[in-house]
Amino acid sequence: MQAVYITSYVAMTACGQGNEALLKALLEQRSCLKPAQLIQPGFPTYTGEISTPLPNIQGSLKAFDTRNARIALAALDCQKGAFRAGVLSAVESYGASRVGVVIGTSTSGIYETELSYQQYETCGSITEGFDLRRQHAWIATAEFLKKELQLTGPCYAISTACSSSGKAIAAGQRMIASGLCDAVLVGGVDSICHLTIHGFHSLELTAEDPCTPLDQNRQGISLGEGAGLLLLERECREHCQLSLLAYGESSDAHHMTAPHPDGEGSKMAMQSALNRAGLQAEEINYINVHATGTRLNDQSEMRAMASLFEANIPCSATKGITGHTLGAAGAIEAIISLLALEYQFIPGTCGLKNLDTAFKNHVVSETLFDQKMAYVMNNNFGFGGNNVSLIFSRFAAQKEMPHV
Amino acid sequence: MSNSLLAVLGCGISFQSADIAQALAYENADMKTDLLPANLRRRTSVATKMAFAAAQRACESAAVKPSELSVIFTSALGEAAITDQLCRDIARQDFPLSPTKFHNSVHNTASGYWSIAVGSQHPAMAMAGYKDGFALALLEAWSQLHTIEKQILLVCYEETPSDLLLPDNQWVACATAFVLSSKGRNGLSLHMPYCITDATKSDQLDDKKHSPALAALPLYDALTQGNSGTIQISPESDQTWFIEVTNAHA
Repeated sequence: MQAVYITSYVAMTACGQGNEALLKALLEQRSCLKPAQLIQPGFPTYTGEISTPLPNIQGSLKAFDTRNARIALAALDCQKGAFRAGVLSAVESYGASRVGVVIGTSTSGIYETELSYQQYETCGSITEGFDLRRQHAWIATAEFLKKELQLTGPCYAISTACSSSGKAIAAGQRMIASGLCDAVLVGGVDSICHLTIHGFHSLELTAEDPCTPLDQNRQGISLGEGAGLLLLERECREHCQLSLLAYGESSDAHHMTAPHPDGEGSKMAMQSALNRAGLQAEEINYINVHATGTRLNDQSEMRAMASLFEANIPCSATKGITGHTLGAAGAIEAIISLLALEYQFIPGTCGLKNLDTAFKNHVVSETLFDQKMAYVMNNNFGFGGNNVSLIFSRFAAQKEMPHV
Repeated sequence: MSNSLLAVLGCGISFQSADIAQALAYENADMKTDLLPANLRRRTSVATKMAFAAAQRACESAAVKPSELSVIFTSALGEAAITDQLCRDIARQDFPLSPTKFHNSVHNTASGYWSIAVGSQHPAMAMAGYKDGFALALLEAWSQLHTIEKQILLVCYEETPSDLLLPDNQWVACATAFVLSSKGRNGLSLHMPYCITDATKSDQLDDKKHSPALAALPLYDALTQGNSGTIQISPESDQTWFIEVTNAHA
């Protein structure tokens, strides 16, 4: 399948607004997890929440107003609207009907649905302005972005839990390769909500302290929230030096919440991405692993990693910095992989003290600078045994590290 | 590329209500499926049961093994009933939540259980549009079959949402499923779905009336009756989707 260019990308995370805030936290290995604020669930847990004020959704799109849509709007508007400008130049080049939108999310605007139900419980009426289609439905944030940017190409949402936005990026490449679109806005958006905080707690998967992926003593996940948006294009643009080479997808066919113990499905996704990219495993310079910080997930993924990659190929996990942003994790970690390629560094594994002795791969604990990397892989796996692996490449000179 | 065809190998349908199925003159359209293991049947939703029943019928009519197919499941709301129950539990602070309800609330519950039940390690897509969710799933199928996949099972399903989610709605709970192939065969074929944009028409459809999964019925009817022609696959609005069906035997 033809590679597609990544001409613009932006992340809105607990680290702050835009790519620079995320890059700074990655370079400093600074965890942005704090005791849960937005929702205080009655048990100790840390979350990666966006603490900067979010813009309101106003005017003709007010019906779409949710925390999720606000996070998406903040991503469009931060960095002086650089991502929005990128989308607009794609519209100028190809026409609005040739630009598609595919957004991954695991809970869409359910935070507002929860508030509406709470009001119904106390007052007997749902929230005024509650709009099922524009707030709660899976499509809500994708449709908001489509309307906000006045795009008229195909627009849909993908919701496969924690692999959602990795799969959205894959779908964007397909839509360009098959000729349906010339550019696709892909990515993921998810906000903190009661459902996931209490839900993961009920499955005994949340950590009391900030999560420590890949650590011998890891206790579970810390939830996060955020948006990662990427613009995929058929044509290269000036200054563009990044591309999506290939993806691989698979199903575990094993269990709804537990991954296959040996990571059979995740190995298949990684192998399939390598095959499509025409690369050998040893050509990958760095892997951003899914590593949520639960006992079973990390074990399953690292067994798959050990069966595919020699022990010298570096990998790391970054959820100790951002939290697990669920449906947005694929896109945010894709952006971390792109930052690593652009600035030629390997982020460390924030929170890691003692690597699980069962893990045989080269897990990078402290950030490594001055790397020579051309190919980076990014893994995401979700409930239902839903797996996706992406391979990005850098084909031009290294960017100068900004003063952060 | 846009002229290349998809072969239709099989179709299936399922309704929650036997009365509605009968009123609409569909036979073999109940929620029965033997692919859903008994221990799961008790705790899965109407949405998942309907999706399984339609999908099983489509695979049987195509005479293909379900484990050999990649899948695309599309639904506007997915597990609406379980989501409604969980939001009520949250509003009443009835914690801890049920862990089973929680993992059965994800949008890829139906597609996840399907891949487990049939033992398929092929990719599983769980996507959503709204009124045009079926059309976009056909487009996604077209995109997959023209790049990486050879055969796909597409399932379009929808429960009736609760009154708190959508008061006084008239949604009909049903599912349709189609087995599609990139290899042309004699018989029924689909062209690439296309969208007609008409800015003079409103996008303000009455959400209460338009049951998203019903948008698949005209195509299901055309395919099961062997009819060719242009089929509308989303309700009329500012962006209305169509698909051409050809019949090599006709």
